[in-house]
Amino acid sequence: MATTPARLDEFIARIETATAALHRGEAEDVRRVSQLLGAMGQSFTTTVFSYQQASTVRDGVAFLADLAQKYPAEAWLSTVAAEQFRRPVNALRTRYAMRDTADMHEEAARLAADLDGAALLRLGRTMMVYYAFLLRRLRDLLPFYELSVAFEGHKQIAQRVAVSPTGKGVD
Amino acid sequence: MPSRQIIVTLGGLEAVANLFDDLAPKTSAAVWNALPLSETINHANFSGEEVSFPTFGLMWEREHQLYDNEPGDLGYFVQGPAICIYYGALRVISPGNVFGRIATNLPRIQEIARRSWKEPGIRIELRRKDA
Repeated sequence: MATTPARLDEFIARIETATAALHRGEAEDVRRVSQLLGAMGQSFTTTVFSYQQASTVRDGVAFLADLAQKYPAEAWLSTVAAEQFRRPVNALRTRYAMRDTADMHEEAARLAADLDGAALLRLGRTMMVYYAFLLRRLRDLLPFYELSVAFEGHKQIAQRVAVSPTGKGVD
Repeated sequence: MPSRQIIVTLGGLEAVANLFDDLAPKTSAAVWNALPLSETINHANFSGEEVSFPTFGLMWEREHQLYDNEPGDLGYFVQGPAICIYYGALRVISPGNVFGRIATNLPRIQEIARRSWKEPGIRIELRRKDA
């Protein structure tokens, strides 16, 4: 079944509503990521990996938007788009608890198969804006300054241990 | 015709910026039409003395992209999309559309921007300066 313009318009409006929620700091996905606990009860790695995963997925969306801009009339475009949108759904939903983002990708994959280049470009760019805000809100969960200080301290200790004849540090 | 001006409020401090209506007319117009904008800033991790905040997609065209910025330059990062303040020494990796420059209060803006590396949540607002 071909995607109607109204169906795409409705979907884009939903993404824009979700983006506005991110802008206001009210997105459920970000709240869920902030509450994720890993295998050992830790949340730092789950948070930083969630951020990295969202960044990777965003790059895929940007790549797709570039393809749609450069090759709008190619027949393979919609197939590639559908696969690209579908690819991260499971990881986003089950590993990183970003269920709303996963739902967005699932719906994008469903629609993409019937979209032309111009419509895919529009959809891809709308999703890029969504990711611009999602990534900032996830990044806001990470205290980069404190982590940097802690990491440099850890590196210094590790280097001291590495040059120590006893393996217990030089001090 | 003199360029249009906007007010940049960073961490409560106001500065006036001139838009580059001549050098980056499309970007200047896109930003002008989107004002007012407000968000929290993040400090750059790689490129140097730069802060930025995400925006809705104001435009998608590259225009007046520079690798050598002056302190106080304002950029629109198309790929983000985001608006950046290049406030000091930079090693630009991905250039933005440079659409304006802060003309007043730059030293104090630089202090606040530098502080944002250690202090998250600093707010920024951009609005039109009425003639």
